[in-house]
Amino acid sequence: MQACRSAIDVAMARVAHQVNRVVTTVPGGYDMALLFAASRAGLSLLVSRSEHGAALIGLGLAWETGRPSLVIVITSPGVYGALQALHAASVNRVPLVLLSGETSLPGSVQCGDGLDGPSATRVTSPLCAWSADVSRAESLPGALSRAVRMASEMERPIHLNVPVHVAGAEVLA
Amino acid sequence: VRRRRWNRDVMEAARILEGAAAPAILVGPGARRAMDLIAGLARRLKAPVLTTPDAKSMFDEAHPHSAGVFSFAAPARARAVVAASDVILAIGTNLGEFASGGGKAFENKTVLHFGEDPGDISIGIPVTVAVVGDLAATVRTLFRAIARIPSGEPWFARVDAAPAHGAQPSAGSEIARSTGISPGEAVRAITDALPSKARLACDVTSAALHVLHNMTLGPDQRLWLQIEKSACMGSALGTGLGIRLASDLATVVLIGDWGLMMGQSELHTAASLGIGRFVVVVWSNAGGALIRTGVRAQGLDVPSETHTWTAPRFAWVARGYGLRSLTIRSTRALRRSLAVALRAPFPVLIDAIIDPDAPIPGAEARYVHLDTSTRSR
Repeated sequence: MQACRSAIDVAMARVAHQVNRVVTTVPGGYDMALLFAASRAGLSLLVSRSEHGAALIGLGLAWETGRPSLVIVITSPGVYGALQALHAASVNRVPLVLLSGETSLPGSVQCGDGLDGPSATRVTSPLCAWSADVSRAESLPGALSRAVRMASEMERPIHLNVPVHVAGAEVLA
Repeated sequence: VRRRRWNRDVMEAARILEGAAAPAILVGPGARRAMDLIAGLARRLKAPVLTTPDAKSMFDEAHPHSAGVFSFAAPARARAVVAASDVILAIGTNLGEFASGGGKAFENKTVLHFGEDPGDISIGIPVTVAVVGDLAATVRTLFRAIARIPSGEPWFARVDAAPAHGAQPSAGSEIARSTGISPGEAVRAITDALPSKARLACDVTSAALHVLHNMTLGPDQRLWLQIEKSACMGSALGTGLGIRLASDLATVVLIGDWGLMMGQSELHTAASLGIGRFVVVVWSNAGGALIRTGVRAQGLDVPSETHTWTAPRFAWVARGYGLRSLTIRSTRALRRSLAVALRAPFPVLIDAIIDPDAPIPGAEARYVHLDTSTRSR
């Protein structure tokens, strides 16, 4: 019988060897599942003092190595803090993968932070080769693999917005 | 059809380059995966290689075919080489404002433009042949298509490096008026202190123009500078930290006083990591010298209060974050302190007090109107 693991654990395990070992992050209520999974996958967490800084450090890591960097932040305000680095990565062709932890409030994927604001991915989509809300746990491993592959091949930033309940749901490993 | 058109365009470019008397290659950041091929092409054509500001350090500046960085803040030799050329082969650059001298540098020249994305091809500069496709494949095909190889010494060896136009800052005048370290001397001090294998992350600051003008980098020294497209002030501290972690090489972050204030919280990250061979040099020249210059270049008056202030004491700020720090007011002290700090097992911030009135290379010729009464102290 095949074992079940959380969707984000399966996703991280798939990409851990394809990205820079250092993952930059600002922890918060909605992204803890993402960064714990990164740690369990053998990646090293660097906690910066702002999302602006986290994304820029990730940009530097990716520029130096040519490999995608994972940056983990919370939804809306965290994502907005990373916008400058997303722009720099977009126009200067640096592979950056931004993962944002979204709330699990009803309709959160469509309504951003649950406060009836726009989804964070609508803000990042003009800057990213792919910007998507992941609404099903079964889709998360494939989506993250695709994100890392696209960032690497296209040398562009990618943004995935992942609700807490999607990240934590169990899927077949 | 697309493949045939690509092949036809590459052959046309080869024909033009074979007939050129003085071809030059201008390389932008998009060409980084084709640099070995471009070096081979330069040797075959006996052509100089120039880099755009954002691509400085992608081509070894000690290479015999290197002609330096063009155009914003370009040294005299680079400007003279471009002025004397008849065909420009632009590879991996969108020929933006800084790479093309405001769009005027290539007037009366034949421009061949290679890019990987249709959006990279200039729409503001007349291009004779535009080729869109994988740059490595394009350059490789072009190399093979060039049958006629020029004989004799490379044409650019005869180019006089005298300034082509515009006033350039002279060290003497800077020293005479100095209320801080001369910018040109500061960049030379940083160059001297950099190890042969090192990284430099330079922010969008007037220091960047002095780096472009005065700094020659070796083959194992890489510069991160993104002044052309993103121009994000305050980005060099975080990015430099990432570069230092990934490269494990001595890394200098060169950042203006305004730029640092836009993102200084990562000083605390650097202090917490305790990362060595990581030095932040603050180009402390009392505000937005680059912005001030750029606004004036548009012919606008600049009220002093908009871009000029008394700079904070960054050595104190850094100490508050837990970093070792010092304030430097002379070139000699900068050279010595930086050399020591780049070997230290902990991060260091150097607050370098720079003359705020020193001229900025590449800026003077662009002035339309200069109101000296609004200049900073």
